[in-house]
Amino acid sequence: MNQGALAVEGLSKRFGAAAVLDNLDLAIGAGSFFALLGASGSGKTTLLRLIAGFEAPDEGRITLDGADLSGVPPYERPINLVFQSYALFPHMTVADNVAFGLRRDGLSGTELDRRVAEMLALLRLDGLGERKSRQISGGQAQRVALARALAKRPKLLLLDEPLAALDRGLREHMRIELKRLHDALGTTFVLVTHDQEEALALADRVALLDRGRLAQLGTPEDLYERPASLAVARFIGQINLMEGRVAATGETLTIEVPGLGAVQARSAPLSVGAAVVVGLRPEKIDLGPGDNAREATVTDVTYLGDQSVYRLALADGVELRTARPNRDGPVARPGERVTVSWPASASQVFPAGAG
Amino acid sequence: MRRLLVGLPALWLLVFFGLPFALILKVSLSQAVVGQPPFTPLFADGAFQGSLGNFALLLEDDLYVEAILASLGLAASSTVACVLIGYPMAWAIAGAPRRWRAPMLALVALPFVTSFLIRVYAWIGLLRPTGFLSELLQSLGLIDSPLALVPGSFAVAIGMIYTYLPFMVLPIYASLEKIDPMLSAAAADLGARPARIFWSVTLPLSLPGVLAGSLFVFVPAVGEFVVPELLGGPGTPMIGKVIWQEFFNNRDWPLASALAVMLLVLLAAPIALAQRSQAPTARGLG
Repeated sequence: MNQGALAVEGLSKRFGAAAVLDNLDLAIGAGSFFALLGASGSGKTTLLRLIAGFEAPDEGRITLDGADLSGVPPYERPINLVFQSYALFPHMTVADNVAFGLRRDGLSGTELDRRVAEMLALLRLDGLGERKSRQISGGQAQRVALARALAKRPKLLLLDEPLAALDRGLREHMRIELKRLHDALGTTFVLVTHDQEEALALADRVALLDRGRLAQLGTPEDLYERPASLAVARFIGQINLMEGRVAATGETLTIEVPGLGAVQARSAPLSVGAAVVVGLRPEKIDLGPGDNAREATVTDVTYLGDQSVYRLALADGVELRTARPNRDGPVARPGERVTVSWPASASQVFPAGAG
Repeated sequence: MRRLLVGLPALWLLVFFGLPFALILKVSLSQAVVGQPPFTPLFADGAFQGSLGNFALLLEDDLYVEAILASLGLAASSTVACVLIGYPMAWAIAGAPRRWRAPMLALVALPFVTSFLIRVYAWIGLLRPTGFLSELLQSLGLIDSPLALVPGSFAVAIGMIYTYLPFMVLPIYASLEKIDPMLSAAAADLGARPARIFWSVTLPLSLPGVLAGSLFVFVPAVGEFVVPELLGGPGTPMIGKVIWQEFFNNRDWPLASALAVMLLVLLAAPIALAQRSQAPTARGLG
């Protein structure tokens, strides 16, 4: 009974000579909270406009629950969009904004009033219905935009950078609000964002786009813990990178890193002698003895309140950064000699030169 | 600095509007005499000599009332025609690719580089029985006898629209261009077809421009008498023409001044109304 499954098949879009989307395939499950993540120029905004129907693809097609959307104008698609700028109609009241789409469906009278009141209540906007849309705060405008888009009960809701314009406190609040709405309605939510934190925190599936192609599709944990490529590893979160060469294969990979000697890393389908890049997330490096233990000097400590980031100089100019929680304040001072270590399973290995 | 910014326009208004208007108001309260100046002083023998007699005369004589009504009628119909023609023009310019907009706006303003009188005479040349239009239609065999459009009300309509159209197009364009294109996209996304987007979103948001353009056309059009004089027949004289005649032909400065004051009061009403309806918008945008 779940509706709102979107499929993108062989989608290409060019502007002039530049391919903005390049033969993209993507499946978005019905009822999921899906994030399209990418830097500017990744094609995510173009994909959003194609799904909403504001642009037509050069090749390929988009289907919703199996129905081809090619040639279907935006006003006939069972998809609604929450604009980044909210795009509320400034000459209308909050209630008229919410009613706009319902009126287009032919609703009027008490049925219309009931549906508008229902949406205002759902978004906790009771009492604001008669305000002009330019007389409300940014956070309220965001909720009105959501109420307006959800009022038509779309099969799929597109959210364009929904939290970008909000300040930090409101953003946190709105995240919870979006999750609550998604759980309550069961509508497919597709979030388009350049903010990885937003994507990881909200979505159950994330598609990372890079220059018009799909770089990786998976759960937030997949993208962070098991990046498919060096490019994905670099885009998501912080990472230490060390160049080396595969010295031995087996249960773990043995990698010869200049200056560090042999380092044990998570197994990967690579052969002996291959040039590789070892990636290590800062929070996975311990200050203390353990596997892959090395001596290091603390060169810098950045205090961030909940945690501190330590910059470490190892032999031969190798630099690592590690982040440790401040349970009892910073655990090392600049100039201090420390032992660093990390389990083999914490490191990710990528073939060198592959992006 | 702030005082200077407010003070300069205020000074300008005082020197070029306030003082002349005070003079006209003073003259309108006096009586015409043969002499230099051709009106009685307001104070003589230590007593106020002014009266509202001129204004009473204006209301009694049908000539003046008719002239005012004819002028208001012509101005109103010209304004409506300019909205109907100017809105689509402004819409087309606002919707054109960015690089085309400046040249198109320049074309709208292009007639201003030639003298207004020469342009009106050019219309006589085009529309008279032996003119371009008549001869063209005859040579095409569409009409048998010469077409006498000048003098006539059709020629007056063409002349008025031609003269005032740019004053309508420019403010409407300005307000259309200011509308966030995302609003149209949002309306489409919510199920509105193009016609509905226009009626529910674009038109209401461009009304300030329509209102401003209507004022720019209506106010000067009420005082217009060159176009009806040159292109129109010998019908009812326009109020501008009557003021001219009273000043220069009859040398009745007080009566002419009274007419001018009355016209100003009549025109101030729609301006004040427009300002009141604009005020909330301006506050909202500020």
